Amino acid sequence: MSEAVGPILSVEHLSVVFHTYAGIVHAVRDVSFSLSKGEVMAIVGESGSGKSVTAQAIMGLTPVPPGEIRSGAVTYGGTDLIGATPGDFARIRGDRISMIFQDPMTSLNPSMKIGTQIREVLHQHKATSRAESRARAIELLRLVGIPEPEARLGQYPHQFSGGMRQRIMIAIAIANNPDILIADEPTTALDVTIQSQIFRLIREVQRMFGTAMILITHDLGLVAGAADRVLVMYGGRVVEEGKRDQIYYKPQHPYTFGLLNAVPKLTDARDQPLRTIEGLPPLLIDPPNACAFADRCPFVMKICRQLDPGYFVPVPDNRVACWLHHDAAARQRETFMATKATA
Amino acid sequence: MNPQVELRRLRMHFPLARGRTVKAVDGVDLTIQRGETFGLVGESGCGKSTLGRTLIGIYRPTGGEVIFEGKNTADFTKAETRAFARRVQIIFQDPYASLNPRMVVREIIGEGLEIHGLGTRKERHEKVRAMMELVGLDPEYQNRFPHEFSGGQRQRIAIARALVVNPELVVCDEPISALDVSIQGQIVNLLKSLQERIGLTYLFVAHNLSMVKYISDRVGVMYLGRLVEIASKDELFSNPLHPYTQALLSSVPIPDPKLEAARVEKTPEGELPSPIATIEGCAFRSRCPFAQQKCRTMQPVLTEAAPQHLVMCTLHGTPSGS
Amino acid sequence: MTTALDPSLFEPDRARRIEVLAGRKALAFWSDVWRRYRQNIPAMASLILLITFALLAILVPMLATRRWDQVDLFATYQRPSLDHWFGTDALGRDIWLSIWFGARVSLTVGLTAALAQMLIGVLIGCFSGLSGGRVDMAIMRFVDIMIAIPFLIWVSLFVLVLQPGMGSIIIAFALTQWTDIARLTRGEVLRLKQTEFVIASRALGASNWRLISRHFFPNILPVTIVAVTFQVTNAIFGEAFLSYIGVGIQPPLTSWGQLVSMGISEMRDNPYMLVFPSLAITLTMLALQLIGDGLRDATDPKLRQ
Repeated sequence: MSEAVGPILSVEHLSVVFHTYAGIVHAVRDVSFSLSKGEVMAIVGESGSGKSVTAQAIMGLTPVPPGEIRSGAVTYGGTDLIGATPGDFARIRGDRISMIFQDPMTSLNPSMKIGTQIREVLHQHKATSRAESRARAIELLRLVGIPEPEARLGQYPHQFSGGMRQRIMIAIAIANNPDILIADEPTTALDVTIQSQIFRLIREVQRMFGTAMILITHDLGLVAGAADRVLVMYGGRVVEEGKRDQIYYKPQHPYTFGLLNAVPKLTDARDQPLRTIEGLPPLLIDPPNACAFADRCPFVMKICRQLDPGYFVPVPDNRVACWLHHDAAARQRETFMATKATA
Repeated sequence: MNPQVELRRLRMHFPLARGRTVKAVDGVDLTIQRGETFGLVGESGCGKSTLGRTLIGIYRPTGGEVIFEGKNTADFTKAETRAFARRVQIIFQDPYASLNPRMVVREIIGEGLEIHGLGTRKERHEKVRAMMELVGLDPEYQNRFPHEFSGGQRQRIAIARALVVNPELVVCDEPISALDVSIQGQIVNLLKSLQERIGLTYLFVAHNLSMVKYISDRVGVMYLGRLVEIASKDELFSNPLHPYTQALLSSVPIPDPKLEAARVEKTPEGELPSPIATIEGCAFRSRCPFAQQKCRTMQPVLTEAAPQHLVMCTLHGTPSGS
Repeated sequence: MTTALDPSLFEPDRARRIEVLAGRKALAFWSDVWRRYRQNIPAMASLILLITFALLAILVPMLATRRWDQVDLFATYQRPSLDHWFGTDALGRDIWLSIWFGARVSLTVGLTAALAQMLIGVLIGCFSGLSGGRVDMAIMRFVDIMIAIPFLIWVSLFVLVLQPGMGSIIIAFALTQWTDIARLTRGEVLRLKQTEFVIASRALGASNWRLISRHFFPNILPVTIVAVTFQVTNAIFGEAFLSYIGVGIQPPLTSWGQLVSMGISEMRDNPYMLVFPSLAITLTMLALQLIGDGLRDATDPKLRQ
C-alpha cells in the first residue's frame, strides 16, 4: 500500500454537455471517482459512454463551444482543474499529467523531428541545457525500445511504423515523470502482436515510475491484465466501480455482466452461444432521470424506468447504480444471480 | 466434399511507381466448402481483405485462378459474370462508408433486385420489407437515410443488401471491427442464424481472433500475402503449429484476470517487413524464434502436418531447397 | 434509501422494448445545407439581391409602357430624374428600361451557358474518372489543351464564325468552358470510385450508367453547383466583354455589355451612362461569388456539427 495521504486526483460530480443543433447532449452525467498514487484505474465503456469526454475534461481539452462543463470539480494537487487557466494547464500537461492518445499519427507533429518533440516537452517544464535534454531524449527512446536512438533523434514521424510512433508518444508522455498518465485507447489502432508489445511497455513504465494511470478502453482483456480498479461507464454515468477481480468474477451490474459475456474468449471450450446485449446505446439528448440501461436490461423493473437508482454498496469496495440491489428487489436479484451462475 | 470456391496459386500484386509492386496476395491455395464458414485471420497488411475482394471479383488477379464451382472466373461469359455477381456477395467493415448517403434504405437494399431485374416492382418492395425484418430492422424505417441509423443498424442494412439477391457465398470483410463490443455479438449471432436459415457459405475475414473462433468452422492464418496455416477451428486454437500462429494467439489479452496473469506471450520481436520487398523463402523467418538456414530456401507450399491441418513451415515438413 | 418505495415498483417490467432509431434527427441533406446557408449573412444578402434582379428583369420589361429602344430625340442625355430613373442615352432611350431588358439577355446567357457547361463537364468528367487508365489520361490531356487557350480567344473565334448573337455566345461558352467542371467531377468520381458503397454496387453487378446516375451524380451535385455559380460569373463577364468589343449582342436586343460599351464613350460628360450598367454587372458578379462561397461552406461535410 502506498504511503499516499489521500487520492492524487479526485473527480466530483462532473457533468459535461455538448450543444448541438439537435439538442443538448449530456455526455457525462454526475461522474465521481478518485485515483490513488500509483494506482491503475481502468474506465471501461463503449462509444457514447462518456469515458473519453471525462478524460478530456480532466485534461482541460474539452472543446468549448460546443462543449460545456456544467458542474463538478476535478481536484489535483489541491487545485480545481475545472477553473484552471490555460497557463495552469500548460504547466500541468506534459509534466504532472500526461496523455497518450489512440492515433499516434495525428498526435505527433509530422513536420517536426521526433527528437525535437521530445526535447520540447523537457524544456517546457524544466530548466535544462541542450546537451542535457538531448541526452535525456536518447535515454527515453532507449527506454521505450527504439533501437539506435542517437541516429533516430533526427527523423520524422512518418519514418517510423505505427508501433514505433506509439512508443515515441509514450516517451514524450513520461519524459517529465508525471504523477498521472491518462491513456485513451492507446493500442486500439495497432495490430494484435504490436498491441501486446506496446501495452507491455506501458505497464513496465507505469510500474517502474510508480505513475498512477487512468486507462480508457473497451478491451476487457487489457483491463484484466493491468487494472487495479475498474470503472464501468454507460450512458454518461458510472454504473459500477470496484476492484478488478470483483468486477470480472462477481459483477454487480447487469451491463457489466452483459459486457463480459458479449466477448467470446479464446479460452472458451465448446461453442457457448454468445450472450448479447439487445438494443442500442441511448441517445443522450434530454435523458430521462431513470436508469440509462433500462431499455436493454434483461432484469428491468418498473422502478428502473422511473427513478435514478443512485448508488448501492452490495459488496465491499464496490458501488453499483442498479435497483436490483435495493432490499425490495430480492426476487429479481435472485434471477440475476441465477443467470450469472449459469453463464 | 463439396468445393464451392477454389483459389489456386492466387496472386494479387498492385503496381507502384518505379516498377515496384505491393504483393498483397502472394500465391494462395485455398478451397472453401459449400456451407462452411471459413475464418481468415492475420494482421494489417497480410492481404486477407485483398483476398476476399479478389475472390469476389473486385480485383482481377494478377496471377493464379479463382475457380467457382469448377469454372475459372476469368473464363466467364458476360452472363456468367452477372450470375456470379448475384451468387457471391460482400459485406464491408465500415458501416459508414458502405452505404450511399444519398439513398434511402429501401433503395439501398433493393438495388441488387433492380440490377438483376428480379421480380416486379411490388414483389421487390415485398422482398425488401421481408429482408429488413429478417435482419432485425423495422420496415417502418425504409424511407430513412443511412445517417439516421447507428453503426450496428447500418451493418444490418449492409447485410440485408447483400442477402436480398439470394447469394450462396458471402465474403464478410471485417464486418464487426468498427462496431461496439455489445453490438458485435448481435451481428455475429445474426450472421450465424442467417447461415442456418438460408444456407450460406461465409468467408469471414477479421482480426478479432476470439470472434473468428466463435463463428468459424475452419480457420486460415495469413502472413504477408501467404496462407501459413489452415486447420479446423478447434485444432488451430488448441494446437497451433506455425510459429506465427502461436505468437498471434499468445498475444491476445484474455478478459479474465487469472487466465490473463497466466498467459505467456510469445510475441515476435521486430517489425513486419514491407510487402514491397521480395522475400526469399519463408516470409516470417526474420522474426521467427526457430528460424534456421533452410528457411531461406523454403518452398511456399502448404504441407499436411496433421490430418486436415496444413502448415507452411520447415519445422513441419515443408520442403526447402531449389 | 429512507423514502419508502412502493414494492410493486420492483416487479419486472414487461413493456415491449422499442428499437430506437439512434443517430441524428431526420435532417435531409438539403435542409441542412439551407439551414447552414441561412446563417451566412453576405450569402443571404446576395441571394436576395439576385432574386430581386431576376424579378426586375422579368417584371420591368413586362410592365413597361414602351420598349427600351424607343427613341425620343427631345430627351437625349437626360440626367437621372423622376421621369427617367437612370437617365437617357444619346438617342433618348430610357436607361432604366435598357438595364432590365438587357438584364434578361445577360442573365439568360449566364445561366444557360453555365448549365450547358455543367452538363457537358459532368458527363465528360464522369466518363473520364470512371474509365481510368489511358482513356482518362487522354481526356485529361485534351482538357489541358483546352484550358491553355484563353477563353476570350475561344469565344471570339466562335462568335466570328457563327455570327454574333445570344446563341453563338452560349454555344461558344458551353463548348469550351466545361473544363473546370470536368476536372472537378473527375476528381470526385475518382474519390467515389474507392468508396465502399460504390464497390458494393459494382459487386452487385451495377452497370457504369447506373453508377453514374444513382451513385456519382447525387454525390457530386453539391460540389458541381458551387462550381456552376462561378461559371455564371464568367459567362456574364464574357458576354459583357464581347459586347464591348462589338461582337456580342446585337440590336434589337441589348445587354449590360452593350450598355457598358456605349457608356464608356460617354464617360467624360455623362458618367451615369456607364455607372448603372457597370454597377449591375459588378453587383451581380459579386453576389454570385458570395453565393458560391456560401454554398461551398454550407455543403462542406467537415463543417457539419
